[in-house]
Amino acid sequence: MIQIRLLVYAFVVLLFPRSCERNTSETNAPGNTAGLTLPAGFSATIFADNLGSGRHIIVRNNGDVYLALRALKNGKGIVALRDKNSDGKADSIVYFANTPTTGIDIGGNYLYFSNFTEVYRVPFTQNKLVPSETPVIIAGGFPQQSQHNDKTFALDESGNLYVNVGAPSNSCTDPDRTPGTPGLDPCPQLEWHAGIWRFRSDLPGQDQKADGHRYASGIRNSVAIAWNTLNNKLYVVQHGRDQLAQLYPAMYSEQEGAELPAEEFFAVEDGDFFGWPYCYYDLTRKIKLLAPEYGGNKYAVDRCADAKNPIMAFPGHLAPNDLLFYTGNMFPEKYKNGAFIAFHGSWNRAPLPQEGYYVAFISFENGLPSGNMEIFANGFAGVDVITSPNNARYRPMGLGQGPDGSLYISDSEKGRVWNVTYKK
Amino acid sequence: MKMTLLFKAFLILAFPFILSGNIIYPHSITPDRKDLYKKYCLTCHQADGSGVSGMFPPLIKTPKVLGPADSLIMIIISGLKGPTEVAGVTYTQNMPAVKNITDQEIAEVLNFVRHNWGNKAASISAAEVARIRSKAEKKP
Repeated sequence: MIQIRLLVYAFVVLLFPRSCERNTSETNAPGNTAGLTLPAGFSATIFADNLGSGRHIIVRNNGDVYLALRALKNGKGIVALRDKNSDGKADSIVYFANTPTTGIDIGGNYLYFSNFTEVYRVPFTQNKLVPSETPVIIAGGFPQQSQHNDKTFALDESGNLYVNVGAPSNSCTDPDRTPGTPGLDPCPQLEWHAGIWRFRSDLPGQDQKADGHRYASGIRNSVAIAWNTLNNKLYVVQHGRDQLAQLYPAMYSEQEGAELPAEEFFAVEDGDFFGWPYCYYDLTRKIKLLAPEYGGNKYAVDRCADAKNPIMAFPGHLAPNDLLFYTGNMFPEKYKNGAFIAFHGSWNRAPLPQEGYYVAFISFENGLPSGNMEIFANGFAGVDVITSPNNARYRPMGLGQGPDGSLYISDSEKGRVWNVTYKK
Repeated sequence: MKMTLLFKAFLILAFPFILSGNIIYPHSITPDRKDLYKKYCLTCHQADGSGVSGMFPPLIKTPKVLGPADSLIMIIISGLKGPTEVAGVTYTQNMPAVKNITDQEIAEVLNFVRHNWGNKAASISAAEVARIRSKAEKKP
């Protein structure tokens, strides 16, 4: 009898500290990073997990978190998260909205969200987690398209809505992505695609063709789009074109195909043209070059001399999928008003290893980058070398700022949400 | 005596190539060509055949890859219009027709796909590809 008791005791002693450790490592122990690599002083918790195919994320000023889901889960396209007992983990998780969503934002007392052809808004109902009214279409009539179909958007503080309409092709050839096919010139896709369209943010029932103002053009796809309230300007980060080496193997090596073209960070003004599909940006030579579909030879500039340059450029194919200007007070001074970018990670660097899969930070001064890009949060993929995107366990997708100044990061693969905090 | 030794040496040296089918193979067997996979398919379908989530479908144990050779050959010849669905997941991208590729090469690249990543499907011959191609070209 005593022996059995001793055995049980030994068993409990052996087992329990370990299960305790495992518990705390998954929750709120100070200095814990929940599997991420972060700068000194930063911690992370898993705020919620397994939510679905996460896209953009937004936090209300009461701390409620809303995550867009690109594919319906339980028939719903948004998941609302509330941490009722303030332990850093969502304990109220409610799915709502009958459409898959990609973009999500808050303006005034309204939640704005978009699917692939419309932007909706719905008012919050007091302090309720889920809005009880029926969402209305603010802007619609966007083209159905099979690629670059996220209608991500930004809101300014003067009642305007800016919607990204991606290009329906790689580089405006017909057929698309086929070796030896010249680019259509002029590219007819620029009429209703590959740019930013502006609408009123408070007027229901607007249509892209009837009511939209083409604010900027020649942008292939800018899933990452944000309004900078400090200087009242729109910023986007573009997904550069794919497959230079596969489509033009005699002109570009595999290495060049992986590094070119750069992903470009744009400060956007009304009427700007950034060059797609005629031009791409060469990161090493720091210049816009003529695309091979339009007679480019890796050196010719031609009409690209007139395309507006980026304020910063990044290595090819990193897939910038969200942009956030940090206005909080929790993080150290250097982060104030700087830009966080979620790089979803490449697929188009094969056969070389894939890159990205991290959240980067860039300090800002007077509306322009004032330092190099630094990797802020890494380790999402869970492997050192990513040969194909499916090796990556998690992929950073959306960024949101909490009322306390903490940063929320969403994942597209399993629907994990991290909350990143800082303590001196 | 010298001849036989030389011949033996040749056989030993050539054995790995005979096995892998890269240099010497009988006419009836079409080899698997990883180099062609790399050239035509890898960028989108990836080195491990797993595709790209939401964009390009995987080639691992999917009905189209393991199914009838005819329809698989047709995808190479005419391309495939997206969206396409595999195991309940939608992949949005179009696949362009592969141009300037010989019947023999189509058979070789498809055999690589049909014999890797756990795929086990019957080999395809250049003659089968030729038959499908001429049928496709007769269509208006």
